[in-house]
Amino acid sequence: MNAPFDINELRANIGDEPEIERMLLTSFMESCSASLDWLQTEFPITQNDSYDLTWKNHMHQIKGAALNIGAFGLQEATKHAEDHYQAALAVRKMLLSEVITQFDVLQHFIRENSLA
Amino acid sequence: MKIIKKNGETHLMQAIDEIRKKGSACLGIRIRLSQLTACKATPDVLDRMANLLRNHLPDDASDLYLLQQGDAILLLHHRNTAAITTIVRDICFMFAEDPLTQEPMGESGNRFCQLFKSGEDMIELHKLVIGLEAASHVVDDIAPLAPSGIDAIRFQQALYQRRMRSRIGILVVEDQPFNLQLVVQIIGRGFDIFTATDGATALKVYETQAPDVVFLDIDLPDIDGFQILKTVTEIDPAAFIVMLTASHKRQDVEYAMQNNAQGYIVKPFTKQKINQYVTLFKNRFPGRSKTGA
Repeated sequence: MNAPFDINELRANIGDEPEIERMLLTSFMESCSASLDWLQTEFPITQNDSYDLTWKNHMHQIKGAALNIGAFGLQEATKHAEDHYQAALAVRKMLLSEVITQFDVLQHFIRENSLA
Repeated sequence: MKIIKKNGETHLMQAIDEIRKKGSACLGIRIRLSQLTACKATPDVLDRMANLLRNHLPDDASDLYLLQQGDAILLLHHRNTAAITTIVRDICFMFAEDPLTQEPMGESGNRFCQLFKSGEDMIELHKLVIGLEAASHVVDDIAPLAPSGIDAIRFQQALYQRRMRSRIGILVVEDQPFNLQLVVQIIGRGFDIFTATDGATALKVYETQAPDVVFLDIDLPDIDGFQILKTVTEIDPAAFIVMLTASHKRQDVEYAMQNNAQGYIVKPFTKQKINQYVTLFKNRFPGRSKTGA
């Protein structure tokens, strides 16, 4: 299986600084995790404009972060979710599920390789 | 202290006439706020100047007049010339960054604070006010204070700090904590780095620190990054702002450039992209480059 992100992308930017690398990846996981927890917990029963906008913002944020570490699978999933922020709730449930899956794969890879 | 914010010219001329009739002691200072770069005379600026001057002046010893043309006149009802030095120093300190306030003081003040000490001077002041009043008819309104969100006086003081700072000051505005930390790490050591995760904080930091370079995210939770760009470049034409975004939209790039952004970085952020703008800043403003990696 291909790695879900390229650690060398990050290293090219920050240099050979394991402590900073660890701090950044921890920050990445924490901030994405907080966004996804919120989106799951607050997932509405009926269509809700305010939730839709917050969804869009969170997906946008995760997308930007994913792009910055070269996590293209997660970036693709969040881009799709951001673009469809007003889609039917059933569709968005699937989109959210895909984003969470991508994030879990990434998180697992980071932990497995003791990167954070 | 009386603060006269409306029809200042008329009230001032009446006051001078009365002083001349009575032959009472008087001193005048013309504060040329209309010549400042980033801060204009408004009722609010006058109130704050009065608060500062109250430390030196008893309540009934002075009047402060706002002229429609944008200057202010401080009239002192005594002839204590020694007090003038302290008052002028404090007024200049309030607007410390502007070169106008840095000029050495002569007998008749400097280009920022013009002094009127004698009876003959008061006649000159009277003539001057008549001239300013005539000229003010072409002015629709007093120039506005800084755009909303930035306190012009505090910003003037921050500009002074910017000049005094030994390292390049960089503000990073990004609401995503990871992205924020990444940009900070990419910039590296050797700079004074300020951060903000929302627009309101960004404006507050700009107002108090006047950073040399700003990396500004477009999508912020409270204020649009473009709005911040406009606000900052209006008050600080020398601002060096680079927009950060995840989108490649052509109209966004055009809008940023039309509104005086110095550049545009599309994510992913890389060392090369960030450093390119720090280098550009150093090349474009060698006088402001100071130290920094």
